[in-house]
This record gives sequence, structure tokens and C-alpha cells, in this order.
Amino acid sequence: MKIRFPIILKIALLGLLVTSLGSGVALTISTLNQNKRSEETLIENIDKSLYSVDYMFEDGDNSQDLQASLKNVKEYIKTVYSNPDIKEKTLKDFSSFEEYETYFQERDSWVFPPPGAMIASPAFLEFRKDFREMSHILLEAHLSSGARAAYLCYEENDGDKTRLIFMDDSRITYTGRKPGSFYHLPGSHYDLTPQDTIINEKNELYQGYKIDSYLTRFIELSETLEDGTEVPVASLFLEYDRKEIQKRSMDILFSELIILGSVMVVVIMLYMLIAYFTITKNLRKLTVATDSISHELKQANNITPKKLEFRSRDEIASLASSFEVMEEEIVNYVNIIKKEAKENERREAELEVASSIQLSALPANSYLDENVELKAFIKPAKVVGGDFYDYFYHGDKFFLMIADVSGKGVPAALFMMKAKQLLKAKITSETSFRKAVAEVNNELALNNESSLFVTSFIARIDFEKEEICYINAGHEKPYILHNGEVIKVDGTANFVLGGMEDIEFEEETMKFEKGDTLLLFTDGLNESINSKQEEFSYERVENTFKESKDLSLEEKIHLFQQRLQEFVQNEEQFDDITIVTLKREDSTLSLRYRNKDYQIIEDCVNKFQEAFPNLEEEKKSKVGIALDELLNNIISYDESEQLEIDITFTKLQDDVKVTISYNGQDFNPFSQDKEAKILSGDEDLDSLNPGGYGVFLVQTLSKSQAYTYIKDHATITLIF
Amino acid sequence: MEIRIKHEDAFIIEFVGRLDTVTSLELQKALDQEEVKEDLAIFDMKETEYISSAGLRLLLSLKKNLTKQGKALEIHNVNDICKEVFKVTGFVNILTIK
Repeated sequence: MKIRFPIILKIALLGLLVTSLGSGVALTISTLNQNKRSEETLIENIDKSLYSVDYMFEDGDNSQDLQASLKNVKEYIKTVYSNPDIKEKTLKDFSSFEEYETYFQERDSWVFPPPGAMIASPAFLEFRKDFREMSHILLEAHLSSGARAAYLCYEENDGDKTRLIFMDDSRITYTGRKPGSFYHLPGSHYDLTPQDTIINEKNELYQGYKIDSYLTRFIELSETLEDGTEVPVASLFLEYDRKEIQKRSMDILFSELIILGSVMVVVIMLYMLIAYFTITKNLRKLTVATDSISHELKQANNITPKKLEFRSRDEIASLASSFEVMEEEIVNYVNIIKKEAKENERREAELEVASSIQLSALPANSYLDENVELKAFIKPAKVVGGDFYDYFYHGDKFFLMIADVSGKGVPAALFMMKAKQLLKAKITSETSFRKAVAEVNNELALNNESSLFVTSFIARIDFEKEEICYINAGHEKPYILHNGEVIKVDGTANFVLGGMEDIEFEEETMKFEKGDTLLLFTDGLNESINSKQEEFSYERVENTFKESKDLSLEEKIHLFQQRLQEFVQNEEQFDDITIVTLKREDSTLSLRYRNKDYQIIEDCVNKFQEAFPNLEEEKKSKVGIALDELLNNIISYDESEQLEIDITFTKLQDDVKVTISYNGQDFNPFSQDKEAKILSGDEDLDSLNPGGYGVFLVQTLSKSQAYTYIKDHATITLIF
Repeated sequence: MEIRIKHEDAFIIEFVGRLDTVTSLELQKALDQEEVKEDLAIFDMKETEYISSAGLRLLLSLKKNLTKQGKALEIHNVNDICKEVFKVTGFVNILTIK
């Protein structure tokens, strides 16, 4: 996973937030304080300057001269100011500063010379000295106090209206007269409004006005008359801008914040560096270790546990040590699993080989000769099973056996091989059936430490006598299908093979006639259980066998598989299942035709008649007619690339069974009822269009007809 | 299979063997070459082993032709199986079987 928000960053951000909030608040408080302090200091300075000018004016060495000068100036201003032409004029009345200056100059009212340029009206020249003196005092007050401006003015009261008439402004001396710079020209005025409140009334001497954001503090300069009374001549105003003080404070605040911020960034970086070495680095180590483990797991390489070395003793170190333990566990576990998987693979391969050896030890699952037809089915529950069957001729007798070794898997399979070989060896060497089985039992019982045993049904079939002689050693009782009826092969229940030495085995004999079918099976069949824990049972075996009476051996086994599957559904097979069917046939004729030719009909009928010479003529004819009709139809309707017809004739006691199997379309010729095509003789001969008698004749002449369609092959079975 | 055709008092057809799909065609071919001048035609099945539906069709067709010409057809010496075939199909009602 890609890390987008590292812990270290989160911690740093949190730290940054907290510290910046704290220091921001602290800084703001201190700035506000400073703001207040600096204003107080300024006011103090201003008041000092005001006082010093006042002292100079009233009690200083030159106070007489100063007072005289000021009075002269005031008189001059008054004279100029009382000129109605200019009395009401202020800078606001002019579009430009030059126009304003020119206006005053033209009217001989120019009261102040620009520095270095002594252009003045003649009236002014007389007061030049006085003016300069005042201007210097004013500038000094301005500069020494730190105020933004100092000016002199006198008041004129007109009713309740107070007008300030300016006499001089320190800024004129300080900056010179320049366009764009603002100052109160001598002779100009300002009318106090109710908003211009007097502030700082606690000290009579230092009163002030608040005009907009500008604050002024002023002192009255007075002339002391001979009688000691003081007559105010003018007021000295010192003005400062409160906003400017604030702005200055804010500038300081900002610069301080910037410094603080940079310091904090450095601190945070240091912090991150420390955190990296103490926390993140270790976490990264852990991550790298986990990644490499999972990578190795994926690659299925040899996995080696990673040692994580931590010097710290914190939670991460503890997590790391837990991780190391877990890692070791995983590695061990994975290695065990790998080993086991390999082992299992090997074992499975061995079992598969064993299974194929075992299956190859069994005879073919299909056998046919002139006496018998056999079909077998075996399905081991585990890869190797304990079930087996065997069949062979010994002399003119046919031996058939089925067996089930107790237990499953390899031990059962080995025991089974032994039992199978012993049975064949003993039976083929001994003349007595009973003795052979008894010897097999003794051999198996000898040194049988794992106490395995075999249940077995061994049959010796005598074709001449039409009977079977059998020994049932604790095995499931087989069934014989005789003329459509199922008979249980009952008799003495002998002890199992290999269970105990020196046992006598009883043999039984039973009729096994031509056309009879013997069904052998192991308990895997009747004891197969479904999800309700019900067994397939002998009853179902018997019923299925009966149901299959008209089917071929292959179809019988197919039916058993089908019925069993329907019964068990998805339940797991827990035991080997073996089914062996054996049919006693006397005369069987099998014919194979691969050519599409009507001549095969004649060939087939001829061969049939030769094979069954003792058959009644009528039956022969009926079979012949049926063959002619059916083969004619099969050939006529054939659409296959290569027609395959297999015909089997079987003698069943008095009957003949004819099986015609072909690779045609799935069409049951007997699906329709026998149609009433029987002519009555009333038909109009001309309109009579004969046809369709074929199948009708087959149905009428045969005793029974059956049709099945399995794996693209249609099979018609007829009994005559 | 053997087909013997005789022109005596009657037109006689003796069929030896199985009257089935293949032989019916051959018999038909043989009959097509013959002209029945006699008033009576006899189909002698003394040596006929059996008859299938193809044979029935041939007999019906023969009967139709002869009837058109105003001639009669008799089936002689029918064995048990052929008799059964004629019976179950109702051909006994159409053919004259002696």
C-alpha cells in the first residue's frame, strides 16, 4: 500500500497547529499591549513638547520676543484672513495646489515663503523674521515629540460654532511646499464639528481633539499682561494618527509572526527528523520485513525469517518483537505445509500408480464367448480399493468370483492382490473346489497381523449341467434372473476368508440355465447411503435387477448406476462399488454390417437360419419377416456417413431374442399403436395404397418389442 | 429364390424362397415381362418360405392389374406363416386363397 499520509506528517501537523495557535494568541495579546504602550509613550512625548514650547513662550528668556512675533504673525494672518476674498477659501475650493497658491499670491496674501526661495509679498517681508522663529519652534516640537504634524492656530468663535484658523504648519518647513503633500496653509481654516470631540479632559493643559482617526493634543500659548492676566494668543496643536500607530504595531506583529513561523518550521523539521529516526524508521523496517516475507511467500522461495534490530524499547519495538515471533511461526508453518504438500503429491502419484496397477490386475470388464457374456463395473471409493472380481476357465468350467477386502486404501489393495492371486492359483491347481477355497483361507489367515479378511462369493459354472456350484464366504448374496424373475442365491453362510485358519467351506449348487443372468455385487452397492442415511438396500438391488430384465448386460449396469445416482444424489461414496453381471447364453449369433446394401438382409436371414437349425420353421419365418421389414427401414432411412448395424440372435430356452443396434436417428418404430390396417375386403382396390405393414407385421409376429436409444445408437430388441 | 412362370390353363407363378424386399423387386421385374392371356392367374406359394410387406404390396398390385383386365387371381398352397400374415393384415379378405 502506498502511504499517503505518513504518521510523522500527521504528528507534525498537529504540533504545528497547536504551537501556532498558542503563539498566535500570545503574540496578539503582546501586540495589543505594545500598541497601547506606544500610544501612551507618544502622548507623553507630545505633552512634553507642548509643555516645553509653552514654557519657552511664556517663561523663557525670549518669551517677550516670541510673544511679540506670534502676535505679529497672528495680526498679519488676521488681516489676510479678514480679507473677504480669501476668508472662506480652503484648499478644497481649488482644483489644484498651484491654483490655490497663485490665488493667495495674487491677493498679496502670501504668508509663507517656500524654503530656499524667498518669493514673498512685500507685506510678508515685514513679518519674515517673526514667522521664521515660530516655524522653527513648531518644527522642533513636531520632530521632538514624534507627532506627524504640529501647527499653530487661533480660534474664532461665532455663536456655538468654533473655527480654527491656521497660522503655521510644521510640515511646510519640514517637507517644503510640494504638490500633493498636505498641510494647513496659514490663513486656511477648519470648522470643528460635533464629531470632533475633545478628548483627554483630565488635564486642562493638554486637551485634544479627535478628528477622524487623527488625534490632536494642544496647548494654549498665552501672553501675560502687565496686570498679570493671561491672554491666549494661539494654540499649538500636535497631531498624530492612531491608525498609523496601529499599522506600525501590526507591521511589527507580522514580522514577528514571520520570524516565529520560520522558527517553527525549523523546529518541526527537527522534530520530524527525530521522529523519523525514532518512530518512522522502525515502522519502515517493519514494513520492509513484512513486504519481503509476503513476496517470498508469493515466489514460493525458501523463506528465511528476518531479524529486526531495534535499539529502542518503545511500543514499536515490542510490535517488532511480536512480528519476529509471528514471522518465525509463519515460516515454520509454510515450510511444514510445503513439505506436506510435496509429500501428498508424491503419495497421490503413488496411489495413482497403485490404482492403475490394481485395475490392470483385474480382468477386462467385458467378456463374451459362446457360453457366457460378462460385464463388470468397479468404482473404488479411494484411489485404490479393496474390491475385486475375477473370472477364468479351468477345464470346461467357468469360474467367477467377487470379493471385498475389509478396510480400504493401500493395505486393503495389497491384501486383495494376494487373495486374488491365491484364489486363481489354488482353484486352477486343486481338483476340489472346497479344498481350494479352504487352502486360500489358510494362506490368507497365516501371518495376518493386520487382521484383514475377505468376503467372497466364488462360483463354478457348469454349462453342461446348467448349474452353478458356489461358496459364499461371508459375502452379499447374489441374484439370478430367471425367466424375468429374480431369485436369491441363498445357502450356507460360510466364514470370511483370512479370518481364521482351518475352516471348512460348504458349497451349494443351484440351477443356472441358458438365458439366466447372475448378478454379483459388493456391499458398496446395497450399503450406499443417501443424505437421509438410508441404505440403497437389497430390496432396491433386487428391484433394479428385475427392472432390467429385458436389457442387455451393459444396459443393466447402466441402469444400476443410474438408480444408484438417483438415490445417493450428492452424497460421497464411502466404499468401493463393484457390480458383475454374467449371462449364460447357449446360442448366440452376432453379426456386424458396415455397408449400406439391401443384400445384407438376405445374408443376415441365411446366417440366422444356419446358426439356429433346430428352431421351429414358423419362428424362423417370423424372424425372417421381421429382419426384412426392420433392416429395410433402417437402410432406407439411414442418413449416417457410415451405417453400422449390429445384430445379435440369442436362444432363450424356447424363444429367440433378436437385438438390432444401429447408429440411426432416435425414432421408436413401436411408439405408435398397432394401426388398424387390417383390410376388410370392402375397400376399393384402385384407391388402396398399401404401406406401413412392415412395423405392424413385426409387432404382430413377435412376442415382445423393445426400443432403447443410448449414445447415438438405437437398439431394437425383439422376442419370438 | 426361384421364379417359375407357366402358361397352362391358367397363368401360374411359382415362387420359391422368401418373398421379401429384394425378391419382390425381382419378381416384379419378371412379371413385367409377362403377358397374362389366361383368364385365371394362380400364385403358387407351395415353396414360398414367407412373405413380408414388400410381397404383400406386390400381390396387391398384381391383383389390381388383373382385376382391371377382368381376370381372377388365386393364391394356392399357402403355408402357416403366410396364412397368418394374410390374416393379420386382412389380405385374406382381398385375395382369393385356396
